[in-house]
Amino acid sequence: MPGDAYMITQGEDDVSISTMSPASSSLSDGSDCVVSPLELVRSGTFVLNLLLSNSTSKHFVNMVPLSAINYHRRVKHPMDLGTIEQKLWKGYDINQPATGELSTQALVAATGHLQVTEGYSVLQEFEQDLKLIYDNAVYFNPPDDIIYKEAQMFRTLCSGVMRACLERQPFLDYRVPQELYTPSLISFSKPGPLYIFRAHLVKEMDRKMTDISVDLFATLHQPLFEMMNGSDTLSPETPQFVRIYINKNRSLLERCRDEDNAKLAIITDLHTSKPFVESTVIQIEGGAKANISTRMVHVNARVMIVKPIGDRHEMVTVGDLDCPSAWIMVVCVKRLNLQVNVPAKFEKGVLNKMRHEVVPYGPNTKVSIEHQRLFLDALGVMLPDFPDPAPTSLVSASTTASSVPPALSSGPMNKSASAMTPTPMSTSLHGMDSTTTIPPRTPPSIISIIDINPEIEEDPPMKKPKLEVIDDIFPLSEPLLVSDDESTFDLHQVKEEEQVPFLADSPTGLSLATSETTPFSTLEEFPQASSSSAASLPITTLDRMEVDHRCVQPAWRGNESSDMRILSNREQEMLRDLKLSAEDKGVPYINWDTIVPTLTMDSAQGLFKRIYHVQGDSSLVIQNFKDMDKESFEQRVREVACLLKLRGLEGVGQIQSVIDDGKDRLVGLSMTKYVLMRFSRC
Amino acid sequence: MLEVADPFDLSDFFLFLQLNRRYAHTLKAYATNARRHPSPCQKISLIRDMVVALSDIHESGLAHRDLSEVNIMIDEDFTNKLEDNTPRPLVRVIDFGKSVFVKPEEVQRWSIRETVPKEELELLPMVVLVPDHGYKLYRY
Repeated sequence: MPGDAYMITQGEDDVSISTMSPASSSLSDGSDCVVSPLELVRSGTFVLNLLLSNSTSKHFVNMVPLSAINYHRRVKHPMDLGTIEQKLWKGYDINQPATGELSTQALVAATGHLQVTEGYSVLQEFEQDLKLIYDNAVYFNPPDDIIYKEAQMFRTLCSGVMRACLERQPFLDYRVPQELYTPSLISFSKPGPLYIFRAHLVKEMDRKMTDISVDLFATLHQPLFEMMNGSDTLSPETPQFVRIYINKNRSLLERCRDEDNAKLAIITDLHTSKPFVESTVIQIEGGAKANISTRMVHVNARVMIVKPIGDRHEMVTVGDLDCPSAWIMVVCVKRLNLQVNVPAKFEKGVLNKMRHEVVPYGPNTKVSIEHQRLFLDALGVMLPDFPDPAPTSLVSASTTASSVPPALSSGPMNKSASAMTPTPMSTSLHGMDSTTTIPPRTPPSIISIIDINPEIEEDPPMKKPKLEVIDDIFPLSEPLLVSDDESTFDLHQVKEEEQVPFLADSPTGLSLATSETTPFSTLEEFPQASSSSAASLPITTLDRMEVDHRCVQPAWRGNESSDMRILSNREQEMLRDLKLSAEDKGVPYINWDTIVPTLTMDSAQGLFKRIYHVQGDSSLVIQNFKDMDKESFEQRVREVACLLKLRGLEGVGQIQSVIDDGKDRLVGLSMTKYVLMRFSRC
Repeated sequence: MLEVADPFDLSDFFLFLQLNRRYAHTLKAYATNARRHPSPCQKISLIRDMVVALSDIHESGLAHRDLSEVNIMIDEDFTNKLEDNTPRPLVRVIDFGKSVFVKPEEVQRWSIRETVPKEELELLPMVVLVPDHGYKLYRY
């Protein structure tokens, strides 16, 4: 009821707020107090500010849409933080006249667009609505749902915030932004610094932002977008207030708040046309003419001019660099549909790069003064110390030649065409700034067209591909470039040195370096199994491929077929020990020859291994050891021993079988496959 | 692999088909995916599981000697959701090609030498080996 006061009491275990009569209130003991409607707004805003600074509240910021029929069928009294804030101000609107409290123009304006019919008279109602949010969430959502869990965290947060409210009694010294605002803070007739902020719609930010940040910004900025799309009249005298959340440049946000007459242009729903070339023919001193071609784009966006006001609030970190880091209340004084041509460089380098960050808009050496002026005119703002229009002696005209190269758009024809078809740019183009005046290079009697535009960039030359796929039909005369991050190699330079017999017999005569010391990891290498023609089948791709099983010979045979190394007693002992370990761990031994028909070869390989996959079984990967000399023998046996030792541990890749040649010689192993082994380094 | 999560969730008269692409990646790919960052819960789960895995490896008497972001595979368990409703990442340490034992009896057991020098065994669990160039030239 209007004029009611409330009492804040703090119990031992919980914070509770209950109504009481003003007569029984007292500030003397520090626990009870009487507040006015404005102080009620201050206290409620203080609580809401803290709640909205925590991402835990994200599910409860906005009203559940009416399209959620089942929700509204089951939840009879939906509630959200936005509605609570409106009810807070509605309470002020209803109760303030009765108390005779002084009200500023901004405070009146803050209550002029409310969509609720009920307001709070006492803080207890405010607290009950906070509890209602929690009750609705846990009533509708099952306990294992994320919103249910978030609601529990929200309740804890509310309890802490209410306790902070109780301790600080914010209505004593806190001023809501609406109290701080006066129309003189922002004026469109006076120049002032301009800052730009791009608020992305969901459709604009789904490409380069993380899921968490997209979710947070879309939720927290919903009131902002609703205000930007509203139809209410905005002006410095009839402002509206809303929060904006930013990711970067928090100090610039404060600068925009503190500088005299500084404004922030919030841009959203940005649409950009295809680039086109705009040619401007200017007459310079001495009678010569110059043709200036600029790559332009047409920009269409929704813009709102605002002024940050009040404290900047830090967001509780959620562990993602793209997420909102701070928010501030802004006073919105103007909204417009921006339609203007801007240099493509400005669109690409500034507008398109902004990711919820504040950037200053000022003299830019990459954008001509005239283009900057057009942009400012479209926004209806003025910058301080902005250069005046150039002297009228520089008469200019322009034309637009879409997709026409600069050379074609120059010449006398261009001049006549420009007079007939002026572009929107040309209608307000008064001339070049003195800094861009071009001294005549030719006698005045000769018409000279000078293209001074540095912005028209020719298409960059095609980059030479770093890696050409080895094909069986590519001509030998063309060099094959294979490179990695560090160096580039010409295959022809090494082919004669590194020739391998079986490759020398290939149809193309191409030889692939197969020496282990040759750093060609990107090259397909056959197992060093055989020098038969069957093994010289050309590799046509670097991807995993199926091969004839004749190619799938164990790498160990490459050396051993001609020079079977005789194992020492110690090596034989180690192999026997390994077999015992495998039996202990229940890891079977399998014969290489029995699995060969099922194998497909992978491009991955290393010094000591070659990787195969099993047809029809995506859960296994086969490693085949190469070059089992004395040193690598110890390493491979130890690797298998390690894997057997770690068999059964949860966080370790699991060995599935040990592969031998049927004569107890170790030739490989199979592992559980966790990913294609294309990038493995063995 | 694609799987449909809760295909008959009709809680709000809407049919939500959540397509969860099941995949396994290296830790490097998983952690640096610009479009899909691990959530805070996934990160802490990841860190915890990596510590547990390495602790298990060390308790088994092994030094991995090649720990890197490409030798730790991450899979996601869509049936096991974390506190923030994201799938739990599963950690698998792989590539034990450079691993060594650090317990004297194991070192002797899996050494090709008949007898490992006593001074070498006394250094354990510190292992002295020649520097490794890291297969720099063998990377893609």
